[in-house]
Amino acid sequence: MSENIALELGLEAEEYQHIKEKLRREPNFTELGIFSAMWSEHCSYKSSRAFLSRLPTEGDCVICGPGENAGVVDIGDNKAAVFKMESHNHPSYIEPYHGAATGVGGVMRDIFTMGARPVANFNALRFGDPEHPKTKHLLSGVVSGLADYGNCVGVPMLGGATGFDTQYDDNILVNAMCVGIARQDAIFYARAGKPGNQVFYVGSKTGRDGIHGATMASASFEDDTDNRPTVQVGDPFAEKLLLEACLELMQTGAIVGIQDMGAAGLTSSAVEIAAKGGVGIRLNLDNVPLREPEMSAYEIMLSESQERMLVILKPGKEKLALQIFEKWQLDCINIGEITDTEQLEVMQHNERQACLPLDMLAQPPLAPSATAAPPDPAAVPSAPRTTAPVPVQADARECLLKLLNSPELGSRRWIYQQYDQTVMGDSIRTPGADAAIVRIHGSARALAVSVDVTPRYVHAHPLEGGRQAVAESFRNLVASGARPLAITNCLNFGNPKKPETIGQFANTIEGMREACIALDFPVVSGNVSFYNETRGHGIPPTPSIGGIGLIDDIARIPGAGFNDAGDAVLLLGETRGHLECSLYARANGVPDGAPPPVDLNAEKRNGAFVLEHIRNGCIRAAHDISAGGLIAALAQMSLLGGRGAVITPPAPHAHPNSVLFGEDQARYVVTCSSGNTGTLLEAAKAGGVPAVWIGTTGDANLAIEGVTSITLKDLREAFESWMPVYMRSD
Amino acid sequence: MSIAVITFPASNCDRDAAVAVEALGGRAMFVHHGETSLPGNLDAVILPGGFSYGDYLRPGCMAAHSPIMREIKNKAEAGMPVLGICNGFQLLTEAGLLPGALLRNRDLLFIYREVHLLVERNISPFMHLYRQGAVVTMPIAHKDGNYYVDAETLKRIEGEGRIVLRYCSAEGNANIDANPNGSLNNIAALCNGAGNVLGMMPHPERCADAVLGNTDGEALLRGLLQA
Amino acid sequence: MSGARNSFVNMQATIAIMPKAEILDPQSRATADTLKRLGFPSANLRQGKRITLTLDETDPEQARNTIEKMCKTLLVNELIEEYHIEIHG
Repeated sequence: MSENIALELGLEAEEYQHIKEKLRREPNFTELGIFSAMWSEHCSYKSSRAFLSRLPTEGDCVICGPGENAGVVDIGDNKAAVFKMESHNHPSYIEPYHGAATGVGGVMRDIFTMGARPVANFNALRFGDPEHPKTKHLLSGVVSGLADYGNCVGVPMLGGATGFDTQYDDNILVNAMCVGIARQDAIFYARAGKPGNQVFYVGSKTGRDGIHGATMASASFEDDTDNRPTVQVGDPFAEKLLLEACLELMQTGAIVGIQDMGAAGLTSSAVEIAAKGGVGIRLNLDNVPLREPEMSAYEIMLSESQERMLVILKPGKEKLALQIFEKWQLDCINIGEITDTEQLEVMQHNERQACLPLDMLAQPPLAPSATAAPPDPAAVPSAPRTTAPVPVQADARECLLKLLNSPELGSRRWIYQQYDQTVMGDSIRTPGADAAIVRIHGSARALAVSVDVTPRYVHAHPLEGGRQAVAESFRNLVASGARPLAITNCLNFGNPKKPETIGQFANTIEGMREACIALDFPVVSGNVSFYNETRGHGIPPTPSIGGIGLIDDIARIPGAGFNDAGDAVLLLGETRGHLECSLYARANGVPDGAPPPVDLNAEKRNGAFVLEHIRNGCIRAAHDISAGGLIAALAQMSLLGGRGAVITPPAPHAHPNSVLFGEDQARYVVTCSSGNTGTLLEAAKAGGVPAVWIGTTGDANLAIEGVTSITLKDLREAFESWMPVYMRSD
Repeated sequence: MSIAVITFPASNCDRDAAVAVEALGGRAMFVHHGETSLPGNLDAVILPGGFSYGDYLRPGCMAAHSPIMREIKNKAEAGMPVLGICNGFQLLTEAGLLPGALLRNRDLLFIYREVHLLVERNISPFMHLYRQGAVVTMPIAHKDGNYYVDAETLKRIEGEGRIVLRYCSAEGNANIDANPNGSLNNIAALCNGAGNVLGMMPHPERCADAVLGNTDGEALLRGLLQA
Repeated sequence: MSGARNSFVNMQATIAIMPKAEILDPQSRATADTLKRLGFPSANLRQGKRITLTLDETDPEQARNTIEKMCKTLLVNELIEEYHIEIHG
C-alpha cells in the first residue's frame, strides 16, 4: 500500500508513517480508509482539541458535557434538556436541499440517541452576497431541505439566525441545532458493556452515499465543480420511524448502549462505542443490510447512508427489540459482538478485512498547528482597523428603513414560514423575537433557546467577538425571562493549517471562555468546522452559539414587543455610542473597525437585574439591544407588539445617531407600567445598573423626538418586503 | 366521550390531537394503523396530521390503504363522526370518503401561517358551537393543501352546502388575496353528504390552549365531544 | 446478502404518470418559467412521475392487467392524474 493512496484519502505523510510504525506493518486499503475517516479533522478534532479543552464545561446544571452525542443539562423535575449544534456546510454547498436536510436529520439523531425526544430545531445559516449568482439557489434549496425534513419528522423549527456576506459566497454555512427533553434517569450513552454483548444494526439500508464525507468536511474546496462524493439523501420518513422505535425500545430497558452512524458511518460509531468502554468490537459485514449489491468492506465501513444506528442490546432482549423494530417497519440485524481484544475487527466473506487497535483510531496525534501556544490577540491579523471616524450626519429615518429593508435586518419570514412551528403543541414563542420559547411538555415551565453570532465583530477582533457571541445569547435568553443554563456551539473557520486561522480560532475560544466563565454559562456540546475556504479565501470566523435557558413559570414570560399603550420605556445599560463595526457604519460605507467592547461584569449584573424584575412582574416587555442599536430594538418592539412609542433620545449632549445606532453591549429596552417607573429606576440605581426613562408606548407611530417619526405601516413595509422581493426577483 | 386517534407511520400530530381532546375532558385512545378493528364504545375518530409514509407517491395515499381504514369506512358509513386534519384530510380524499384531492400549494412551498377562516356552515357534530359567518383564526402547516375537484362536483358540493370553512381576510372576505395555497373557492374544510365526515387543512388541535395564545380551535373539538 | 438480484426476471414495465391536462400544474409552470429565464425558447412543458417495475410474470397481458390494477388501487389518483403503461417483454 503506497503512501500516495494514504495522501489521496486525506492522511498526512507523517500520519501515514506514524501508522506504519505503530502497526509494524503496512495497513491495507480498507484500514487506510478507516484511519483517514477517524483521523479526519471532522472526527478527530486534531487541530482544535487542545484549544477546546480551555472551554468551561462544568456547572451546577451540567449532567453531561462534551464527548457524548450531545450535552445534557438539568432542567428540574427529573427532566433534562439534551442539545447540540452541528455543521453541514460542505454538503449543503454541493447539494443544498439534501445537504441541509441530512444536517437536520443527523443532529436530531444525536438527540434521540441519548433517549431524549426532540422538541425544537434551530439553525444558523450564512450565505454569500444576495447578488451573487448562486446565493438565491443555495438559500431556497437549504431552506426547503431544512423545512421538509424537520416538518416531516414533526419537530417544530423555531428559528435561528440567517446572515449574508460576500465572504461566504463560496462557503455557505448550515449549522443545525436540536433540543430534546429526556428523563434524567433514562439517558443513554455510547456504551459497549461486556465482551459477548451483541451488536445490532438498526434503520435504513447501507448504500454508497457520502463515502468519505468526513474527509470532505476536512478539506477546502479547490474547484467548485468536481470533487463530489455521492450525495447523501435524507429520508425523514425513516427518521421518524427510527425515532419512535428507539424511544420505545429505550423504555423497555433492553439497551446497553446506542450510537448514531453519523460522519464516517459504521466506522466511527463502532470505534466510539468500543473505545469508550476499553473493549473490542468485531463486525461481520456480511450481515449489514445493503441497498446496492457487491459493496466492498471499504465502502460499507465508510458509507454515510442516513438514518442508521448501532445498538448494543442486553443479552436476552433481542426478541423484544426485533418486535419493536418490526412494528416500525425497520431492519434490526445482528452484525457483530463486543470482544475483549481492544481491536476493531472487520470480517467479510469469512476473511478479516481490517484489524486495528481502537486506542490508535480514537486518539490520533495532534496536528502540529494545534500544539503551538495560542498567539497573542494583538498579533492576530484582523479586518482593517479604521481610525476614520464614522460620519454621524446620515438621516436616521432613511438609515433605519434602509437597514430594515436589507439583508441585515429584513424580516426572515420568507424562510420561517416554510417551517412547521407549532407541531407538538408546546411552542409558546415562534420565530421573530429574541429567543424561541417551548413549553416543557405537561408542565408550567419552559425552555428558551437563542442562536447568535456577529461574524463582523469576530472577524474584526476574535477575542471580543467570541465574548460578544456568548453575551448576546445570554441577553436574548434573559430578555425572554429565562435563566441562562448552558450553550452548544458550532465553530466555523477557515483552513487550520494557516497560522492566522488558528490564531482566530484560539482567540475566539479565549473570548468565549471568558464570557462563559463570567456568565456561568458552560459549554456542554459542540462541533468544529474547519476548511471553510475556497481558493485560499476563508470565511470570517463564525462561532455560532446556541444558548438554552429555563423559564420557571410560563405565566411570567415578558412581552417581546410594545403590547400595551401608555407603558414606560426604559433603557438599561450604559450607552456610549459605539458606532465602529456597527450596521450603521456598514450602511454608510465605513469598513469594519473595532467591535464594541464587552464588559462581562456589566452583562452579568444587568442580566440579573432584568431577570429579577421580569420575575417580580415589574418588567412587562424586554428586548436586547444588538445589531442596529437602540433604534433597531425600538423598531423591532414596535413591530412585534403592533404599536409604536414616543421616545426621547437619551444623552442629549451626544449626537443622536451615535446614541440611536451605537451597538454598545449589555443593554436592554424594557417596558413597565407607568406607575412602576420610579420603583424600577430606583432599584436599578441601587443595583448599579445604568437605567434611564426614554419614553412611552403609544399607537401607530414610532416617534423619536427631534429626529423622526415613522408610521408602523412604513416600518412594516420596509421590514417585511426585502426578502420576498429578493426571492421573486430574477 | 372516547375518541380514537389513528397513528400511521409518520403521523406527527397524533399526540397533539390526543392532548387537546383530553384537556377538554374527552378520552383519547391511540390506534395503530395495522389494527383491523376499533375499540368498543367509541364515539369518534380523528385522523391526525403528519406525513404518513413520508408523503411519498401522494400525501395520504398509502395510509388510505391501511388495514384500519376499512373499519373506519364502515363506522363512517354508519354515522360515526370522523375528523381528518391536514394529512387526515388528504387521506380522507384518497380513501374516497370525501371528494377531490389536495394538490401541491400554488407557490410550491410549505406554508406555516395563522390564517383567517370563515365559518360557512355551523353543522353538527363539529361546528355547532361556532356562529355561522364568524371569522376564526387557526394555523395551517402543509405543502399540499391546494384543494381541487372537478367543476361538476364542485358545483354539487357547493350546492349542498358542504363547504364548512373558507380561507378569508380578517373581515371575512373569501377572496383571492386571502387564499394561501390556491384552493378552489378558498375551500379549507368540507364534509360528506351526511355531515359526519369532516376534512380540514387548518389545525384546530394546535389552537385549543390559552398558553399558546389562541383558542379558536377549542370549540370545534368541544363540539365533537358533545356530539 | 450481496446481490439480491433476481435471476428469473421476466417482465419489465414502465408507468408514466402525468397530471391531467386540465389541472393547474404549478411545478411544470415553474420549470418552464425557469427555462425561459435561462434563455431557452418557451416550451410547452408538463412534468410527471415515472415508475419502473419488474414483475415475476411471463404473460404480457397478465402483466398489464396486474399493473392496471396497481395503478387504479394505489399508484394513480385518477381525479388528477392520467397514466400510460409500457411493457418491455
